[in-house]
Amino acid sequence: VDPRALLLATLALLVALAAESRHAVVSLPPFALFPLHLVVLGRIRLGLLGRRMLVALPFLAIMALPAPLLETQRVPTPWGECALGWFTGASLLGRGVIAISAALALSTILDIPRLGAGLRGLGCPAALVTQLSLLERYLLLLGDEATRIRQAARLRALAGAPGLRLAAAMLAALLGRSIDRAERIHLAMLQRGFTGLLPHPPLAPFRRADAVYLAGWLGFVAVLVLMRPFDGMIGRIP
Amino acid sequence: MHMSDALISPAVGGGFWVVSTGAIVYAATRLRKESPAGAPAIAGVLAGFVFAAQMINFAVPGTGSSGHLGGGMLLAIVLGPWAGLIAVASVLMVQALFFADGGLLALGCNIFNLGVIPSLLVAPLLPVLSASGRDSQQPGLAGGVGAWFALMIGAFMVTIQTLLSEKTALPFSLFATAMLGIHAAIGVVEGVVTALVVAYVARGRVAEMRHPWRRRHGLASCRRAASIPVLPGEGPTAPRLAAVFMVIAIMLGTTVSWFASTQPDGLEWAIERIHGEAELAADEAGIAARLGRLQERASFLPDYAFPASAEEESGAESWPVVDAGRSLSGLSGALITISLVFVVAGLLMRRRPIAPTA
Repeated sequence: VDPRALLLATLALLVALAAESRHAVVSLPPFALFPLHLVVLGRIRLGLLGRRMLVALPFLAIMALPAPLLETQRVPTPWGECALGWFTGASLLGRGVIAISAALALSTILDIPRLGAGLRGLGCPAALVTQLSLLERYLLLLGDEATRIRQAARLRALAGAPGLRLAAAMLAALLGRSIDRAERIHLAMLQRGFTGLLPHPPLAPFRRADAVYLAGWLGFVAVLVLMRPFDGMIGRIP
Repeated sequence: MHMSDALISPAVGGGFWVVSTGAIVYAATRLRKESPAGAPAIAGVLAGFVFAAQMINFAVPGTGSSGHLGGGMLLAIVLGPWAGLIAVASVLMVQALFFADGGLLALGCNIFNLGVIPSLLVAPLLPVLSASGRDSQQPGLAGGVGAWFALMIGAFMVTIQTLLSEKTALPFSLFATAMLGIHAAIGVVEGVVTALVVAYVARGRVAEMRHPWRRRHGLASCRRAASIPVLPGEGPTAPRLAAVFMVIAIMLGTTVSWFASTQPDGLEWAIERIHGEAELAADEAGIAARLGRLQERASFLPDYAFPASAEEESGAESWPVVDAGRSLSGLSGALITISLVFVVAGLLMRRRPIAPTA
């Protein structure tokens, strides 16, 4: 699928999801269809997705937990009355799980070059796309540098994490080496005729299949937002 | 401090997307004009530095836990405002798209809170902070204080964005207190580490920066790293900066005042609990009463609203209270504060002129 279509469909879904009322619970599951289809499309292992989700969820959990104590207004449910806050909390967590899994699945499907191509196709400033590609290229290199500095500190009989002063010295060394490397790369690129923007391969044309894909998801989102098929169902609070 | 997609509404997310996109496009144009081929490679590699720096964990004193540098302010200091903003934005995009750290719809908010605020609002103020000269302690101190302020303003913006989105029922005062309290502590650690790193570089303790060739011909980024941006013509000029602050203060003053709680605040609540009545009975004849009457006469919008506004008559109040009186109070409060700041700053600057350091 064309990266532009993927990005636009994801954004449409996230906007629709954000437009749901803060008590919406029953109307959320259909939105999960989008991340699920991404998982199938990219053949993503659910275990990996789950592990990365666990890292992202705690903050939302902290925000969701006090909700039942704050919104104590009683509302009827098929299982008896409960506080409105339970809906707010559940809705927050539900929306979090869907949004985070969509972003994670998207990141597994799109690598940075394809993402950059998609962004450029959507009119993102060229400077930012160049910046993204350069960031991707030197991320691992500098990561190695950091690992070496950390290793050196450990070898000098340092147990555990360093204190602030030592960490600052290590960071300053890393910053110095990064600037050093950046300057060498910059000079080398200038000598090879770099004009400030990386040349990008032409974007593959937007095919009919991509248009159908995008139209399909936009239609799906429009149905969820405009028709509200779950209105009047039990547990949906206006 | 990354905002999540689950917490924002389309209007807030979209609004900040527009603002942040505008800032990035402007920064990209400025960058291309100032250094046609220079900055991108350096900014790209140094954006990678932020990720690498986060691999170096340090022990946070007194807590038994470990933390890592956020690095936004450090990037802004080393790269200057324009390249700094673009570098931070790219870091946040990678974090949002590849680590689900902050959402896609929330990306605009995150770029504003963590990129625009340190790069375009706080970094240009640092030369003033470190103005007194070439003493190597000064740039570090300025960088540290800047990092703390940038984090606090960012945390406050997170509170505002969350509450404007109305996806949680947390009351403004509680959420703001929690966010600012936690980030005040985090900010101290971030500030201290930033200050130490900048001081190390400025003191010439980093071997890579001591190279004589680099001292003479080094790129602007290295000079900046050693002395914090003080080159003329870089960053917004003072009047423009003042205009930016004015717009933000006016926006905050007019909109945030709607959210000023109609419930008693913490102190009033505590007094009510202790004394069983909302306000302590004022001493009718004492000096406090006289001061109170004076204050009543002097304050032209007591309790943030026009006297006897509609809400008092209707009895039931809704929150947020969209009210012209409150907006005007907020607006005039902001304007008065800004004028005061300018007067004080003017007095301070006349006493100690800024020494050119470049």
